[in-house]
Amino acid sequence: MSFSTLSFIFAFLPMSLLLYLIVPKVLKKFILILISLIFYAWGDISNLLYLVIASLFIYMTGLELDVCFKEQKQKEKRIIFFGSVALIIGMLAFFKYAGFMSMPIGVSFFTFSLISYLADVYMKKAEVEHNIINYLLYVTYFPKLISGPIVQYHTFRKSLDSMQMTKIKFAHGCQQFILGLVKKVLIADVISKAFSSMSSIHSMSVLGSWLMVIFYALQLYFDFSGYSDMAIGLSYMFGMPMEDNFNEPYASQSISDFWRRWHISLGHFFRDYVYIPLGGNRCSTMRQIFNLTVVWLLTGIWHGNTICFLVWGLYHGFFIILEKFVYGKGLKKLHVFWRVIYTDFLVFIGWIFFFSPSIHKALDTIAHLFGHGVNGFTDTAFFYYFTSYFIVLLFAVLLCIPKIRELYRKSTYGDSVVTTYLSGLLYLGAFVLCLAYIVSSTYSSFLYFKF
Amino acid sequence: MKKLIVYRIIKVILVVIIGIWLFDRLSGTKVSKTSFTKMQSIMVKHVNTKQTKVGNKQIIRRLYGLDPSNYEGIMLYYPSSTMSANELLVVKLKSVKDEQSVVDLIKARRQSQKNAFKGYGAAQTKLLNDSLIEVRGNYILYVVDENASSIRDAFVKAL
Repeated sequence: MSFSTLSFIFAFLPMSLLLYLIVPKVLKKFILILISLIFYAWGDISNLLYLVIASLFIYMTGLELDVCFKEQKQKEKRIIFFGSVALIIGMLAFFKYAGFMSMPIGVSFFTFSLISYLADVYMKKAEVEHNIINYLLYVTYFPKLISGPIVQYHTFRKSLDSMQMTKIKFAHGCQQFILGLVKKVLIADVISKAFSSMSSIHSMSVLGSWLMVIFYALQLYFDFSGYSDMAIGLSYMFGMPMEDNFNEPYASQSISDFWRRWHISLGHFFRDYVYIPLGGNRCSTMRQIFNLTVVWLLTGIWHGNTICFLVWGLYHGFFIILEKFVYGKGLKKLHVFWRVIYTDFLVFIGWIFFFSPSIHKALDTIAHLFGHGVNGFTDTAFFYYFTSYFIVLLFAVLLCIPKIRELYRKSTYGDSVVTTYLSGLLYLGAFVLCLAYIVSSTYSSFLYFKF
Repeated sequence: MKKLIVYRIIKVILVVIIGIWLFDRLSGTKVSKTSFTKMQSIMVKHVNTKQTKVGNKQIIRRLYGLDPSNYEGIMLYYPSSTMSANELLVVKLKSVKDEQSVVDLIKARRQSQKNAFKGYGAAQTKLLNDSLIEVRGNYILYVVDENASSIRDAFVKAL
């Protein structure tokens, strides 16, 4: 089930919230697990069994590790941990890359939750969870189940004890959910039509090619950050705060900075469970380069099994290594405007590998951006798409600028009661507008569901 | 030590259950070697040409949100008038892992058509309610037609 459907907004969500609110405290976690399993089964009942069995398998592994810790069986502990991680990663690889069967929805994110639990226990970041209800709630918690954010176990476990529905958390959750809905329905879905239409044009101009790439960059950002905002908003509604997954990434001042602001939870996962255990940056330069290469190779592979994703991952890794060891200091001397231009230029080029079906097509598109194999600098298609989507494009670009968002926050949440009420009305209006769009248009899936 | 043995026995049972589940899932996914051109030539014979017309790539994108370049083959016959609900879509997947997303988009299209005919198009609504979505390995069929079941039979036979 998707967060941006009427059945979710008007049936599943209110019923879940009501049920969660009225049941006695002792049953709340159990009810939330049940709600999460129904949520998953609604979209993919055939693979629900895998979700449950794999969760139980890792739970048993946790208990096994606990015994090994107590009995100080170091070697056995290592074998159990790496063996179990290898098994669930093997299953993930089978689903994602073998192509023999449809991939269980959210399997990548779900597998990362399992790894996080096991790794936190193994690295002693958290205690083994003996309470299966607490454990299952972490693994199946529906706001994050399908497409993240990837909440690490030790973070979730700390918040679990203080999990409580409050008016403030609920209001914040509603606000963030509506913001996500606006991003998805009013921006990403509209821009996706432009991108989809432009990408089927055979002959393009230079400006047309740039516009198409910009459309994709904006679509991907508003689609995925919209989903994340909705997930975080939902979690707040149930009384569980979650950290942001995006922080105005297109205002980043370097590629390293971009990855601190884009899909933050994935970056943290690879940092905490791959980069730091490999030695992080407390080792020789060559070893650091090796560690970074491994992380970016895995980031690419995680997104897909095509050579394009691999190249995309290594492309980002390459510039991060350059920034770290070659021109990082020089970059900092540039004016902030030029640093943002540098970052967005490289990131947008990178997205071409992300959306292209083959390396050949990706290179063709890159060549078009620089005037090779195009029909001129500009053409009627460019003007048509630019003028037709100008309003949404402008709105999207403005939302990417930190100062504009800061200004909005100050003007809507000042000390004045009037601005607070106006802000409430604004969100209500945006919600109604989103509903109108959802009713009148065909359902559009989230881009990150396929990962 | 006793605890460890119990945990390991449970883990082995869980692995066996996953194995059985995988075997069941994989045995249901038989990839067809029928070429899309052959499938197309067979299905065209069953198309209701009075109620439908051929849909090009743009139409497929607009009505279904499917990007034809992501699939090995795709054919669409969509309603020739606003009062018609007849439709035929055949998709040959490059990878069966795309099955769910395609089925979701087909269901969304069906729902949007049901909404469009709700309240005044009783015959069209009935056709949509009786429509069939058939997933067979790497092929997916969606048919809205008075003869939907015979079209499905032809589809299955062609696999």
